[in-house]
Amino acid sequence: MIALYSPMTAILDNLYSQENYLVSKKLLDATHLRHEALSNNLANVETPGFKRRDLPKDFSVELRRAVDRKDFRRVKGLNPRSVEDRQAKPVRMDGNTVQLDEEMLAMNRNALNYEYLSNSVGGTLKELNLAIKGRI
Amino acid sequence: MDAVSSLPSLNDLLRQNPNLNPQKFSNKIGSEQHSLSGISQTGRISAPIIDKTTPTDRVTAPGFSEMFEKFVRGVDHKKKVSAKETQDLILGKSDNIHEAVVKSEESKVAFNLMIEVRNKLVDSYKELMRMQV
Amino acid sequence: MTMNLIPGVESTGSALSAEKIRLEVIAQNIANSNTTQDASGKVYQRKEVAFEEFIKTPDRRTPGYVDENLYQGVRVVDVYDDQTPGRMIFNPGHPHANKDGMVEMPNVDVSREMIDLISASRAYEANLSVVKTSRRMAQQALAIGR
Repeated sequence: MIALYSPMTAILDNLYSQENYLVSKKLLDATHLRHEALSNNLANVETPGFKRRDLPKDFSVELRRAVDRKDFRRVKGLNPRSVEDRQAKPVRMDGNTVQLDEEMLAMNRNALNYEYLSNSVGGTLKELNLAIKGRI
Repeated sequence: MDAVSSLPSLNDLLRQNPNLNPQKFSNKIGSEQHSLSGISQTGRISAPIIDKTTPTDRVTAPGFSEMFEKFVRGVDHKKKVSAKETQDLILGKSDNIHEAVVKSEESKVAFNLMIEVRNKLVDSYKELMRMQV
Repeated sequence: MTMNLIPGVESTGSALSAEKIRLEVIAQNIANSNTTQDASGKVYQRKEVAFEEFIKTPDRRTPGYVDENLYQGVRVVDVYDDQTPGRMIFNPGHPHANKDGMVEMPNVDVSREMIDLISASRAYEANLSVVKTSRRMAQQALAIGR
């Protein structure tokens, strides 16, 4: 008891400060947002003049950079937003930039990422529970 | 936010019992047992412990009670955050289901940690009381 | 405000409704590709659907409410008549022939309608697959930590 001098709130913060856990949580947010953007793109595949939306390509670059620098406050502060994809080319005469097959492929890959990330986050939580209680 | 702040905080629960006052500790460990059994709501109210120790016996104690109170507040905060997120999800203000689930699991883990610490404290208190003087 | 546990389901749902309406209109066009006189006495005119992206206005009544989800998919703005005149065919024996013996046929081009039918079906099936995937994602999220 005497040795327990470090403040106990630090335990709570430290519980959840593992690198992979933080990054997985942030990516889970981003994947969820991206799924909504891609769903909307697919919903508007036949809408004249519609321009597809997606997460900006530099989101993953920024995330990677922040992790390499071990700047986890930055990781927590990153807020992905869906924006219009300026590089998408119109594939139809009416200016619609959604390509059905590519969009479906992107959506399926994104969904698989979501599965992996949710398992990763869940795994950390299960581990913590196991460590604390001694049983699942 | 009104619904969330109306949730009894653990500190409120601690203070409701007039025998408990987190600052005033007779025997630190014994009082921890008191306050914690208040939280776990087992229904057993132990008799208040009479202070037979002198001030010099409490040289290592002051840090622990503050520390534990901060811990309890931390757990309480996590529960409030989780409640708010769940409320947002239910009312349709947010559609981040994963956020709600993750926050609720995090608060469960923190709560489990607190319960296990409480169990260890109770066990060690019982161990101490069993010691032949 | 309804609880929305499945990500993107409002968009996908809107697309399924819209594409279904479009399919019905196409089916009606094909069925009437030879109707020289409809209920109002005129030749059948091809119907078309107008799609538009459905953008919600943010709910300003709840303060502090940030609606990231302004984009809710697609909606059918209108079902309108295609005004292109139909072909005139010389057929004096036809009951609806005019004084010159010409009959106006509906402006429905069946091969074009079939192409539209295929696009609408593909879009419908794609969105159906999306909703399945979205539901699976929601179930995985619910299973976190179990």
